[in-house]
Amino acid sequence: MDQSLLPNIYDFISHTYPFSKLDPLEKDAVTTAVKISYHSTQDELCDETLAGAGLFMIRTGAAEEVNRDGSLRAKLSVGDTFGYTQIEKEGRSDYKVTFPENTLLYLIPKTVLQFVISRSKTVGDYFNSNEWVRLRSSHSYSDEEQGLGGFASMKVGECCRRPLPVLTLESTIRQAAQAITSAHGYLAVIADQGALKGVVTKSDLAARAIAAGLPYSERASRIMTPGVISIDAQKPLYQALDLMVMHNLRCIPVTENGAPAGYITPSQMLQNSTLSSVYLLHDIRSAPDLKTLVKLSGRTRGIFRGMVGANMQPRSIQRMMSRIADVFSQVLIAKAAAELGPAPCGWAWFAAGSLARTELQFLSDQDSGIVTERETTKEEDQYFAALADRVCHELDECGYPLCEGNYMASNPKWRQSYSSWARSYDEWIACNSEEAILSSMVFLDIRHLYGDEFLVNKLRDHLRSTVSKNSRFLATLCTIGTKAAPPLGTFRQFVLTNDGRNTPYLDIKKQGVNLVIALARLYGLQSGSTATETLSRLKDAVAAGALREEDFRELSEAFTFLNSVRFAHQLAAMDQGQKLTNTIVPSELSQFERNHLRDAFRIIAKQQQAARVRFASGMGILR
Amino acid sequence: MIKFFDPLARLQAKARASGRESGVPEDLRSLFDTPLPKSSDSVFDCKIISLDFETTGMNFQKDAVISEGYAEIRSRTVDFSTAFHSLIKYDGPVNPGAAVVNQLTPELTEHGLDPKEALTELLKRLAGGVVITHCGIIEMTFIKKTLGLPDRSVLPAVFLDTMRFEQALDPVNAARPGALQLSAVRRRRGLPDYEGHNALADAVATAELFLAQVQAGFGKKKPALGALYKMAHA
Repeated sequence: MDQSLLPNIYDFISHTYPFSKLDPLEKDAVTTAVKISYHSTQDELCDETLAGAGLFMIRTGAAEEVNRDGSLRAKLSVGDTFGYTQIEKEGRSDYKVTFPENTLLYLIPKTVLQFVISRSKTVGDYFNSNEWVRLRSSHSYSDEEQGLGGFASMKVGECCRRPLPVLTLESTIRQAAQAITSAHGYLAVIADQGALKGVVTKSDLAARAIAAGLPYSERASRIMTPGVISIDAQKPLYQALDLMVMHNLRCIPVTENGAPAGYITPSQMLQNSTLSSVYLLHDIRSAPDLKTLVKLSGRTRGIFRGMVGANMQPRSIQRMMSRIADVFSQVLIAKAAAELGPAPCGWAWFAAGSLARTELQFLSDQDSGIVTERETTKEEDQYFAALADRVCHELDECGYPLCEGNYMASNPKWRQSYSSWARSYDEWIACNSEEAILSSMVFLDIRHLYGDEFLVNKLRDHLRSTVSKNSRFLATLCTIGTKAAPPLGTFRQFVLTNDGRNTPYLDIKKQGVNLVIALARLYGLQSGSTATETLSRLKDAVAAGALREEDFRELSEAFTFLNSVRFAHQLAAMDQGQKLTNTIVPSELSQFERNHLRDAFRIIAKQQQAARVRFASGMGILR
Repeated sequence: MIKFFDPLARLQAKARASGRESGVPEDLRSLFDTPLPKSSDSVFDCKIISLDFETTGMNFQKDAVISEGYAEIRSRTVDFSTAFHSLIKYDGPVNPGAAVVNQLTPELTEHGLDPKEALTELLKRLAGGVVITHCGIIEMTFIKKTLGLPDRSVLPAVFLDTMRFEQALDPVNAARPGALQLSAVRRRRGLPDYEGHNALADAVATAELFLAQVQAGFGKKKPALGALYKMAHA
């Protein structure tokens, strides 16, 4: 059957992910197998009308998935699909579907869906009954294969400018100027019998020809810089950088099989985001004063933009943002320490909270603390007070806002000796009250930034060994961490919370990301992991046997997806000159994001439930 | 006597009689004896066909069918695996206006099926079933005309008309000018916008509308065919 005969159905299917990914023949096969049904508010699909039927797509109207215990599973609107997790079932379905309003449904029957799944991996992954497989199918990050080393594997040829005008030894200055101009370039090379003899740049034309009063008919070779340093297009980009640094060059000709092909300048390299962050780190380290640092801090936005735009993993982006904050902190601390003179005793500065987890993002504020090797006198503490006060305020100027909860080294409460820090941890863990834990939660994630690393690591080890033995503490931590439930999903312009209420915004941090962080912290502490990063904690928990591999995959895919949605929306806000937030208006979510968010939320809810069961035994001691 | 007041029993009798009239082609006569569903039958237990023709115009004397679209409703569901679309051969002059609307060019229609063969085949599928159309007078008349049946013939199928349903369900809105066009009715019933004007798309659009109308008129209940027939022929 000709697809043009059914433009409505064909269009709808072609625009509904993942069928949009099918080739025309497969789309035809799907279109011509569709069954259309119409349902009023009194109808429901359940058991034999749902189990094993196929995939239902909502064409108009709305539907609700209701679990067998009567709780709401999801609320769906136009373009949403349901039924695929029930395809392999017979007779009894896991949930039923009701219709809050009159609804037109398209059904893609099981056999046709199976046919399409067998032909297309995209569709197959999307309809996998495992949420994490569906989430994984949502992305392919540019740096997934190579880690953060994407830049390392990038070739000069991939970002050099072309063409490169080639002149002969007989060419005149005027011809050189014409060749450079018509190539919209910056330089030309002079070659003789295939060998590069020299380079003529625009500034050579100005300085050595015009300023020197040479006639335009003079040979260009008179003003060239002899002894060409060039680079092959196949060489890695960082080698070009090396050459520039070593020879103090601003522009290098690029050759392909020995023939001139193009040229490369720092500005082309800077378009590569990873490199620009390397530059930034270097510039921060060599910044002479605070004013320069404040100016440099403005570049983090461009780096964020570049990394999101280059489709890098959210984890890599957060690591880079954290790395930049690390260096800002370290430079500011070092400057302050240098001016204040030697410290009265051994000490260290550590990051807490998101920076400690290397999960910093734009809206993160500062969390920090100072640990000294021994108790300090009041006078001695003056030194650390002055240092911390200065560093915290300077970090604020560099775009890392002061912590509202005052969890900063400038607060005397968070400047303690090792033994008093250790005692504090013991108290929080032993007293086991929710308030005490909540008020010190941020210090459950700590990472060394400056000074005596041993002090911080010792403290972390102390925390680790105390916590992992205390199942009551872990049970309370679990109660706190699973108190907030993820929403069910979005429905039209609302976010649907699990108690059936609608809210106009999705807080992707509080309602999503933080919930995974809390679970990872819980499992990480339980398994004695020294990692602070969420995904590393989960991985360590798997290695320790506290978490199944499948749980890890679920949580890590949910975490990754939530962050990618968050970053994509922050980037959009940035591009539109709006304030960055963690809240998303559902109308700004694509169908694709809505579907996958629902999966991510479902994973979190399921994992919270599992954690409650696993850690509840700790509570048992009390009862 | 009771049977006499049953409109479907009367329809059956009239169809049988039509098959015996002079002028009916011999190969079609037996079709008129096909048993029709009964008034008491639940409509969704019947064979339901949604049908639409594209024609060169509305003049039954001069114009002709140039395509047909067909889709069955099974278990209360429009089933695309039953659907088909056929072009029908037409040699006469093409009214340019209609060609634009239908996007059917003479080049397309000259490769179509023989009209008589196509509609004979179609009538065989329709016989004994329930046929849904939007303004079905067009389809009925063109079938009769093409097959050489007398004008007064009663075809051996139960024709239901979504246009008539709409007048019964929503007389106030239906009375407005243009309100009975398929796309206008669909919009009022909350069905998706559609770009019609090919026979299959229209047949499917009509089938969807029929399902929505049955829901609106009868809710979850399974209406008996007789009740629907009365609505459409009031």
